[in-house]
Amino acid sequence: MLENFTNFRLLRQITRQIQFIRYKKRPTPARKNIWEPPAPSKYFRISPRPVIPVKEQEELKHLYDIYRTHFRALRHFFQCEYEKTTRLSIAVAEKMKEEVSEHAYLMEQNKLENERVAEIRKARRKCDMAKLDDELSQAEQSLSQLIQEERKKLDELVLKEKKMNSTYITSQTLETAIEDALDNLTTYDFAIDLNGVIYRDDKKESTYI
Amino acid sequence: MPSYELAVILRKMSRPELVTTLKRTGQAIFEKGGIIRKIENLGTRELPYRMRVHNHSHTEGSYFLFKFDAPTNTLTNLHDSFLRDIDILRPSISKVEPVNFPEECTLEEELQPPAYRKSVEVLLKQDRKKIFKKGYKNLSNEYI
Repeated sequence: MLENFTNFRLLRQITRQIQFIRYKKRPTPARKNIWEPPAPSKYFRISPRPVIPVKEQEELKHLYDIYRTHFRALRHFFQCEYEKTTRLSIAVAEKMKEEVSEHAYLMEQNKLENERVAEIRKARRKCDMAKLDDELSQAEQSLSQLIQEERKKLDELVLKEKKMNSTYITSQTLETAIEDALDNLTTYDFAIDLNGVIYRDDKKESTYI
Repeated sequence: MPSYELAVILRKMSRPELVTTLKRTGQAIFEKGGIIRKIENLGTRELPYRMRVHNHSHTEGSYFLFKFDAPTNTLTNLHDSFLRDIDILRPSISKVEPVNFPEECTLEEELQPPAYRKSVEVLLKQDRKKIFKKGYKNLSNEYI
């Protein structure tokens, strides 16, 4: 309806007159809304079951049986007709044949392509394996070198410690070492020159108790 | 056996008493199968704050340093025994890491401003690489 109104001013006037009803008070004999609970007076009311006469029901059943059989037959007929046009027709059979032959051709092509790729892959893998072998041998070499270096370092450390062995404090020399330490106070609070000259703050020494 | 340092603060005592407590600490290290390399006396002075240990408050203490090697699994026991000693105010054991000085290093190079130092140049290069990688990643997420 709105398509007919080419005049915009008129259209606006009409749309202004339309009212949108969000809620309307229902008139006296009317159905309640779905979200409203049943009336308190109808809480325990059981509605009576519909009474259908036996004869009438039998008649209805008989009619429905006839209707069902007829429609089943019709559906079957239509299905047969449809199959004739699709699956069993000559054109379709030809098409199927074509498809089968095409499928065979494609499979053959696929096989050829696979063989070609397999050859390339084989060559590449051979090359990769050679590379890997090279890398492995190199890694082994470097590892053995590393182990040797580590062993050398450890040997050096052991030698150094053996030399230092005489300077260790033992339980016999502990008392003398303690006496020596008590006599000689060591302070790390000093400044150092570029030439290695150590400057100590003599005033700070006095702060010691 | 890794090497450790025991920096210990003793309560203010007379010299013979100090000797006995130091002996005790040394013997404790020996009993655990350790080696003492050096004992240093860092002096007796005022504590930085009042320390309350074994229900006595102390304002002065004498500082000593033990350089020793000991098995790693004995350290907790050692520290515990020191904590129980009445004459020790604060025992603290710390690991001594070996200092690896750079092989090629001259004073002239080190005295240059940071931007011209070789070590700083390496760090800058590393940073640049990181930034480039980040940018590339973002690009790949958006456009590829």
